[in-house]
Amino acid sequence: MLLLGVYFLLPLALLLAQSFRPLVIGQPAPPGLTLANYVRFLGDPFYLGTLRATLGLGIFVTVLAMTVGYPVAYGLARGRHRGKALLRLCVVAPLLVSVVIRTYGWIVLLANNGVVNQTLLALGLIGEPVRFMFTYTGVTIGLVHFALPVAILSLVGVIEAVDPALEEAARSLGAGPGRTFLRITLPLTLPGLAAGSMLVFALTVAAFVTPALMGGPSLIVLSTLIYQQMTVTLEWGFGAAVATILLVVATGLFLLYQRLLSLAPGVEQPG
Amino acid sequence: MSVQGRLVLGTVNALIYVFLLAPILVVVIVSFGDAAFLQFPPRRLSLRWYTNLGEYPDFVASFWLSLLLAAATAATATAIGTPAAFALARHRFRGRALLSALVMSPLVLPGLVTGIALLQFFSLFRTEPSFGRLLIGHVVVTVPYVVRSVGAVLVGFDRSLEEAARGLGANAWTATRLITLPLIKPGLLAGAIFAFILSFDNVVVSIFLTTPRLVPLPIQIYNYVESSARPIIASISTLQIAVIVLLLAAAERVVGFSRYVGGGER
Amino acid sequence: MTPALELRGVRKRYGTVIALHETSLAVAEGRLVFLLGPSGCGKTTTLRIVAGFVEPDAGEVRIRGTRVDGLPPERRGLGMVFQHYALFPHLTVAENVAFGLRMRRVSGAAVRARVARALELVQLQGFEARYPRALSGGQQQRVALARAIVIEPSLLLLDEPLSNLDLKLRTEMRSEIRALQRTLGVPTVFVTHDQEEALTMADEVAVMAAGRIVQTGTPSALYEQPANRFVAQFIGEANVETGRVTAAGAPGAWQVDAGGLAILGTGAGPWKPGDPVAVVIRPERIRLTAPAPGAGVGPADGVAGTVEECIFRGQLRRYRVRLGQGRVWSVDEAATGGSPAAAVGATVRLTWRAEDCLVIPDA
Repeated sequence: MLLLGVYFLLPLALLLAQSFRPLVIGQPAPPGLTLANYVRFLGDPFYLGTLRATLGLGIFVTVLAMTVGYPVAYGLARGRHRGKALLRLCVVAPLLVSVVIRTYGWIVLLANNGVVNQTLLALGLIGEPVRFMFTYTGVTIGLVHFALPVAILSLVGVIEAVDPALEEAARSLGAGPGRTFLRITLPLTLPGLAAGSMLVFALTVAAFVTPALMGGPSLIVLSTLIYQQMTVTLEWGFGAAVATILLVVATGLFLLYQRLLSLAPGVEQPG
Repeated sequence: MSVQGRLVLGTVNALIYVFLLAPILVVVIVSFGDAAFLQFPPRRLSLRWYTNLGEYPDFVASFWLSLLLAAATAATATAIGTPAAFALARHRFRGRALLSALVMSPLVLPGLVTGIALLQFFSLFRTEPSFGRLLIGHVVVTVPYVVRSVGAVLVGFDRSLEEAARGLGANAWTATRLITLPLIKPGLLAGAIFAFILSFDNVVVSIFLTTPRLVPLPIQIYNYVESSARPIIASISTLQIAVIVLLLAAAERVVGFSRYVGGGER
Repeated sequence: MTPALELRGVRKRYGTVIALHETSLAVAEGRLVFLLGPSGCGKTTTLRIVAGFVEPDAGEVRIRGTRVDGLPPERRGLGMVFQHYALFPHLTVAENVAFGLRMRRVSGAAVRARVARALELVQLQGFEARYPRALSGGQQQRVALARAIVIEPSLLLLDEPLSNLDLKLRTEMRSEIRALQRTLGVPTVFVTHDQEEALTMADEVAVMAAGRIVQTGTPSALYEQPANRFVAQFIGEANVETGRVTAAGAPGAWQVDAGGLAILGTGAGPWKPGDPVAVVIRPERIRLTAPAPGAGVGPADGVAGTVEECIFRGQLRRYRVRLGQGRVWSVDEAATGGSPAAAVGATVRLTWRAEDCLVIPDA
C-alpha cells in the first residue's frame, strides 16, 4: 500500500507543483512558483474555447446518454423475460472492449466512405457523404456510445429501487402510463438520474481516445490539449495546469455524484 | 402497459442495442473480409487478415506484451488489493479513512491525469522507460477495482463462519485458508479479471509510458488508426476481443462470474 | 340483481404453469368477499386480473355488468390497497390521498373536502402534511385505505393488506376495515392466506388451492360443511381420517371403517359400501372422559387412546391423544377452572355425536 502511495500521491503532488512552474522540456526553468500557466489558459480565447467545447460536449453527451439510456434501463429493471441476462451482457459488452477498438469501429462506420454513408448513398437518401469524422456530430456519436453503458447501468439500479407497486398504485388510481411515468417514476428516479449524470459527465469530459481519433486536430478538447502539451510542444508546466483544471472539473463532479447518490431517497436510505 | 406502448418501447430499445453493439460487430465482421481495403459487408469471407498477421511483427509483439502486462498487473494488483480490502472491511484503525481515500482515488481521477502525473514523476528520477514503469502505472489504476470487488464479498461475509472454524480448533491462518478464501474466491477472481481487462484495454496511462520498443496493443492500434483504417487493425482487434471473451468464459465456468459483471462501472 | 363483480370462466397461464384454471366468481353489492388460500394458489393472480394488471387468457371480467377485461387498470375505477401499501414516498399524506382525485380532474376545493373526509374515516386527521416514511405501519395502512376509498371506487381490492402488521395491530385493523367497509357499503375483495382473518371478517369466502376455487361459502358453512379434506384442514383445525364406507345407517348417517377404527358420521353421500371417504372431526366436538379404573373401553363407547400431551391454552386445554396405528388426534376441552379431565399417560375414551363427525368425499 505504501507503494501505491508513492506511485500515486507523489506523482499527483508533483503534477500540482509543476502546474505552478513555467516548465518547458529542453529549456532551463527559472526557479520559483508562478500562476503564469493558469493566467495563460484563462487569458487566451483559444484555450477558453477548448474548455467551452469540452464542457459543451460533456453536457450535450450527458443529456443524450441519459435520455437514450433511460428506456433501456427501464426495460432491464422492469422486464421479467428470460433474455434479460443476455441484454445486460449487451450493455456491459462495450465496457469490456478497449475504447480504441470501439472508436475504430465508429470510424469504419462513419468515415466518408464508411458503412453509414455508403448505405445512405445507396438508398438515395443523401447526394453526397455526410461528414462525421472530425466534426462535433461524429465525436458526439462516439462519446454517447462511450458513456451509454455507464449511463444505463447507473439508471438500472435507480429504477430498480422504485417499487413497481407504486406504478401499479398510480394506475389503479386512474393515471395512464404517461402520467404514471411523469408523476411517479420520473420524480422518484430524479435524484439518481442527477447523480448518474454527474458520473457520465465526469467520464465524458475526461475522455481522450474518442476526441483524439474522431475529432482530429480541428476539434480540440481539454484531454487532447493536455496530450499535445505533454508529447508535442513539451510545455509540461502548462500541460500540468490544464490537467489540474480537468481534474477539478471531472473529479469534483464525481465526488458530487457520490454525495447525491447517498442523499437520493429510496436509493440507499429508506428511513 | 398498453400493447402499442410496449411496441414503441421495444423498438426504441432494439435500436439502442444495435447502436451499442454496432461498432464492435462491424470490427469483427470486417476482419473476415478478403479485400486489401476495408469492405462492409465483405464480398467474400476469408482468414487473410489472420494468416498474414506474421507480416506485422509490431502487432504480434504488442499483443504478447499486452498479454504479459495484463497478467502481471492482475497478479500484482490482486496481491496488493486483497490485504487492503481485508483491512478496510475488517478493522477500525487510525488512518482508515485515509487508506480508503488513497485506495479509491485512482478510480475518481481521469486516467489521463494519472498518466501524465506518472510521466512527470518518472522523468524526475530519470528512470529508464521500461516494462516496470508500465506495470506500476497499470497497477495504480487497477488496484481500486480489486479492493472494491474483494470488499463487496467481504461485506456480505458472515464472520461467524470463521469463528465457528476457530471454535472447532483451526488457527487463524487455517481458518482463513480453509473457510474465508474459498468463500471470497468469486470476489478475488472478479477483481483479478477486472484488473486484467482494464490493463489489457488501457490507453490513457500507457500512452505516456511507452517506448518505441514497448508498445502495448491498444497503443499500437491507436497509432495505426491515427494514420489509416486498414483491415489488419480489425483482425488484431478481434483477437483482443477474443482474449477477453475466452477469459470471461473460463471464469464463468470456475465460479458463476456473470453476476459480478453487472455491477461494473467506470 | 347484477353482481358488483363477476368473473366468468377466467383462465391464466404463464408458460407451462397454470396460475389459474377456469374460474368463476360473483361478488354481490356491499359484500366483503375473501380469496383465501396458501401462497401460489392463484388468489393474487385473480385479484390482479380484476385490477387489470394481468390480462386473462380467456373469460370475462364484469364490473356491475360491464365488461372490463381489456381495459387498462386506470379505466376500471377500482380502489386497491397493496401488500406493502405502495404509498408514494415523494408525496405527503394529503397528496397521496388526493392523487386519484387529481387524475380525475376534481376541482381543488372538492379535493380538499374529500381528502379531509377520507382521512377522518381512517382517523388520520392532522397527518396531511406528513410524508409516508414518517408514519408507523398502521398509519401507512390507513393512508393506503383512505387513498383507495376516496375515489369512491365501484369495487375495493385488498391484497394481503395486514400481513406486515404485528399481531395486535392486525386484530385492531381487522375490525376497523370491516366497520369501514360496512359504513361505505363498498363491495370488497380481500386476499389473504390467513384463515383466521377470513373467518372473522368475511361475508363470504372463496377457498383457493392450486389455481382453483375449491369451495365458496360463509365462514360457518366452510367450517361446518367443508367440501373436501383440503378445506377441512385449511379452515380451522380438524382430525381427518381416510377410510371406506362399511354400511349406510339412518338417512345421511354412514358407518366408516378408517383403518380398523369404526366411526359413525354424517354426510350427504350417497355412497355404497366400499366407497373411499374421509371423516372429519373438529377437536372441540370430541368429549374426552377418563374411564373408571379397571373399566374396559368397548366400541360402543367411542374410541380409546392414551394422553400423550396436555397443553394449556388459556380458554381451553388441548390434548394430544394417541389412538394406536400412528394416529394422534387433537381434542379440546374448555378450561373452566377445574382440574384436567385426564393426566398425561392416562387411558381415555373419546366420544362424539354422529352429526359432529363429517363424512366427505376423499379428495
